[in-house]
Amino acid sequence: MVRGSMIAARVLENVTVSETMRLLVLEPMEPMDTPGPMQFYMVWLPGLEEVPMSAAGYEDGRIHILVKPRGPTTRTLAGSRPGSLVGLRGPFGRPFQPRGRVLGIAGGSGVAPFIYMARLLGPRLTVVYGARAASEVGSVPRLLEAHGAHVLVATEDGSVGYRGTSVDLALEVLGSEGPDHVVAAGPPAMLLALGRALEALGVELWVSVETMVKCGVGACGSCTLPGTPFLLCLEGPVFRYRDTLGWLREAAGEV
Amino acid sequence: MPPLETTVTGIKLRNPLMNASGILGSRPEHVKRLVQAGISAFVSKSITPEPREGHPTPIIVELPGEALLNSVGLANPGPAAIPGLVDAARRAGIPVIISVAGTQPRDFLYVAEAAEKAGASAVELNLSCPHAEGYGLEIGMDPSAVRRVVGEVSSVLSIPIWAKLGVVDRLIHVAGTALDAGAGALVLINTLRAMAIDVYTRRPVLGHGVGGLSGRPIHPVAVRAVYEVYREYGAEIVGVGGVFDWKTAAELILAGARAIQLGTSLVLRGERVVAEILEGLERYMSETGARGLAELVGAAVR
Repeated sequence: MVRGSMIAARVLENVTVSETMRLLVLEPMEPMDTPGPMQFYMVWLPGLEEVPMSAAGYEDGRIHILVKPRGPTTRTLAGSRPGSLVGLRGPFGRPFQPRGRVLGIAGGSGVAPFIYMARLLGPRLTVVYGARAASEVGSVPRLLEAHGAHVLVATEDGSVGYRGTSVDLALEVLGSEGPDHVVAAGPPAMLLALGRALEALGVELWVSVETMVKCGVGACGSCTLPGTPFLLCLEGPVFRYRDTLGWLREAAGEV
Repeated sequence: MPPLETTVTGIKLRNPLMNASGILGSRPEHVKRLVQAGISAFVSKSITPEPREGHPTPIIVELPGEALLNSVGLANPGPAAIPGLVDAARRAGIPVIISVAGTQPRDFLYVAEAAEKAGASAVELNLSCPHAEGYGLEIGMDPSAVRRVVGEVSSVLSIPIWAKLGVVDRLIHVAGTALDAGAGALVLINTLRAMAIDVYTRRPVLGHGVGGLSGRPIHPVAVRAVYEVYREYGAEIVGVGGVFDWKTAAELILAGARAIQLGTSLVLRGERVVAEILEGLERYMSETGARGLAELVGAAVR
């Protein structure tokens, strides 16, 4: 069902997670539905725009989001002070609720939904988290481990954890353990590389993608996955890798 | 003739339900989705001569009482997208209506000609979008502008022209002008100009401030508009506004609509609403002894 009303929410906390990411704790002024794993909100900054943000946590009716500054809205959001107000619509999308053991592979701020998933799945979840350097990793592993999930870190410069990409590390992990589900979120080029590698291994990959989302309710069509009838705001953000191929190739600049 | 079959400007529709312009409709992928829902014709997003980004977000919010407030701002991919939309609908075996928007007669003509060339079944002239400066309602509230736009398009096009009108003070006069200038059918109504304010942030919620209200609350307004225009002209009318179930659909048909467009209910209820309305209409017709939809069109008008 649609959850399209705009609900004002107060910023309770703004915590530095890494050099590039902040964790905001938001308290809605009116009750909102409990998010499922991988669902997202449209977060509105009055005077600026509305941006899609994954639920990175949910506790006592408070919604956590992980913000990485990219444009004017996310920059202002990342700098928002406790007590300031935002607007929330959601949660949108379809919850992704895998059974059994789950391997999550995250690049950069793509880790946000896995922080919430860790809270729900605990030790059933292993997250491979890839970043450029230690400064980008920050306290992400602690947030994931707080609820018992296993964490493996890869940095491109080797400043912390495995030296290499999240894809390289994920392939090593898959070589030694066989999870029931593999789901990934991160930059399009990373998702493509991972998808191609897992296709060769015959492992099914689910990916959480980021398209332009505007209405959130299936009306405007801006989040259409090219070549499919799927809308990210209704059927996503997690899809089978092959359904996202058209979008990933477009977003990675391959076509 | 199957009981739910109907026609608008000679275009045969296997049931009276189509999507309202602006509910998806800008990409071929959307056609498949809407066809699976069971619509009898595809209506595109309004196309302007140049692509438009539309208004800043938020572009839509849900309001209490099964309503939406939107200010998408005529975001659209431009005429280059028309052939793909037409082909997708043709492949799916349903008529395709290209919605056309512009600020002056030559804009409408340019897009309408592209639609005809691509093989569209009809064009729907958007004379009623309430939230884009210079477009839609700003033309549709001025009878002489309506005459110029519809007249210019109808003097060139061979395919049928539908004029989508909004709620204006002298609706009957504007409707008569559109018919007189060559519109074969009228599409009534569009969203109503409206606004919502967030009381905590003390700001209008939509990025554009003003938007268009749709859904349940506007249904009686649509019934009145269809009724008055049908009573005056007996024109071919496509009814739009707050149709959520068979009963709200039947009301518009009894007021004079030969077909119905669904917008907000498709969004808030999901695609199954199409099948629900069709089943309900069929049941209603057999319960009341109506053999075909044509018997019901305008039956409440006296």
